[in-house]
Amino acid sequence: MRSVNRQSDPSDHPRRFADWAKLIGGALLLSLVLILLMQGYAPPGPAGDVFRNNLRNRIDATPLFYTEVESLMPEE
Amino acid sequence: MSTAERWSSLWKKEDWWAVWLGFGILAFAVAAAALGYSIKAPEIERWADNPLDAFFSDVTVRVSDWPSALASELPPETADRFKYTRKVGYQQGRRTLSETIGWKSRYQMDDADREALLALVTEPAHREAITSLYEQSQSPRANFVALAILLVALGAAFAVAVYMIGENVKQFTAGFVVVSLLAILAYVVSTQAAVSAYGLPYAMWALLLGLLISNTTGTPSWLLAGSKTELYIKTGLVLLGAEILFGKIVVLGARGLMVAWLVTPTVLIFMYFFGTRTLKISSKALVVVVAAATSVCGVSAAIATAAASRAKKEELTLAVGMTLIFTVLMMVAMPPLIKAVGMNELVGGAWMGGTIDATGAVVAAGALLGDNAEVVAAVVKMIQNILIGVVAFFVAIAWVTKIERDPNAPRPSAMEIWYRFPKFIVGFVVASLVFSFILIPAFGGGQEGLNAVESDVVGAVTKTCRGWLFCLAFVAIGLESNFRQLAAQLAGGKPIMLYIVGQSFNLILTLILAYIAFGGWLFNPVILE
Repeated sequence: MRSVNRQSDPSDHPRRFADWAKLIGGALLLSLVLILLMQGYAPPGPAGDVFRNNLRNRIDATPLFYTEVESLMPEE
Repeated sequence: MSTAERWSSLWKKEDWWAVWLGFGILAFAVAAAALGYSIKAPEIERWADNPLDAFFSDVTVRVSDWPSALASELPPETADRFKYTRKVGYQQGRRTLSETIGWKSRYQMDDADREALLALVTEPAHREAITSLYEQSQSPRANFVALAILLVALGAAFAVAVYMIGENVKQFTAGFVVVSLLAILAYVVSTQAAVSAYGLPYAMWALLLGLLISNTTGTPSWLLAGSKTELYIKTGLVLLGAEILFGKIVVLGARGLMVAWLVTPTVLIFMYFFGTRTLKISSKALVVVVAAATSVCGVSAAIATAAASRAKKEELTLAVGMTLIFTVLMMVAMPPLIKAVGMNELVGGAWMGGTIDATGAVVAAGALLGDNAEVVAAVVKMIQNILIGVVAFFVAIAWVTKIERDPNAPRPSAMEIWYRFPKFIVGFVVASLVFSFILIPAFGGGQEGLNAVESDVVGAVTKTCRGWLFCLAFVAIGLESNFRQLAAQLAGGKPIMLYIVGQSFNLILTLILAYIAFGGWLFNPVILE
């Protein structure tokens, strides 16, 4: 089974090259996803209503806990 | 275990170090607030086009910076709306003056109000005050130094813990630097304006970045040394304890309590038995983590119960992945459905607050339905947030006394239970109790004390530090996981089945309770001002 923590092996250069290529490819893919998300696309109709409203009113939908939501915290 | 070993665990065990480090950060934040120092832990700021904007603190003029005296020069009705807008404008985020004046639809600022406000701020006397605020807004402060100081301080504190535990400090330090850089990258991505609108949090990006490395080149040993997942999570959970303020419950109202506190334990218990007995999922820890994520509040509840039940990293990853996906789906689907069936706004708000996992998504979905729905949804979710402490505590007790216990062994003594009990839970509960019952009275008591603790201690320092610790932890989890182990956890789709059945039960039960509490079935209908 493939180990998370692999030791470098001089005879294993082609596989290491492939691994690095996968890392770069994955990073490029993530970057592409990010660029697409940054366009702020929202599906037409009701399915996109929440996204559109969030974008229009600068609502951050990512907080994991109530203390991270500014509207739920008292003024500083 | 000898007496000497028991005592030495205080400085040799990761569990205790999480408590000491968490208490250290809390003590620092409380002392700074008590002595009147205005300390603000650096956050990654929202940005739109240029990622570097994420490192500049947003000192654009906030509506709350408007001189409140301006209100006295407005007609009474407009003045009221001005004050309301000023307060809400702050709460909804930092907005520039022009944005706020242009921003009228959502908070009923009609054209007359808008004209009155425009006339007001263009008067020469007022313009001077506003201009000075604008000038301030033209010089944003860079967060680079503050961020570096925070991460170096955290790294140094963890290095001391690593040294005392007996691990390699040099390797940890090298690994921590890279884990920190990946955490910064994850945070920066999640604060992009559109990404945050989609509800894709730092936890997801941190996991993806870690997984990308571990599943391609593999995670080198020096990087694994900096991936102290347990230490980051447990320290973060001690800080989270300080955010669970029981005084909050008093101001939240009985109806919200009814919806959140009746449904949450019922769904949690139902999912546990459904997962372990009907689906026969072998890992009880996986079942309870998925159940807590579904019934309490998503990622933060998953983290707390995973630590309390000693779940595997892959199990936490799976639960978090499912909750993130379903959160976005429910945030998108529920408001249009509620509108389409003509459901009462308050019932809809309570329904979403009790079922959508993540707090931010609840507020976003509620906002689409209207102000009242947003308030009710947020209140119900806040009450569920507070339940994290109770759930984590009872899960830890159940695991030590029942689940992990050998059924053939004699009943463990109280001391035995104490030795096996996860100590960070003690820190978590103590932090919550001290903040709720000692600090709030010490900061003035009542609503005033609650506000002071929330804004000067939690809002200014501890929640930001907790966010960084969780982000570091998710990078570390990604670095330590691989897709094969994750696929093994899927076990023929049983965890997904557990989530779907549990969430469906949650939706039905919460809807019934929402109608009873907010629909006028049992109580008088609620009228919000």
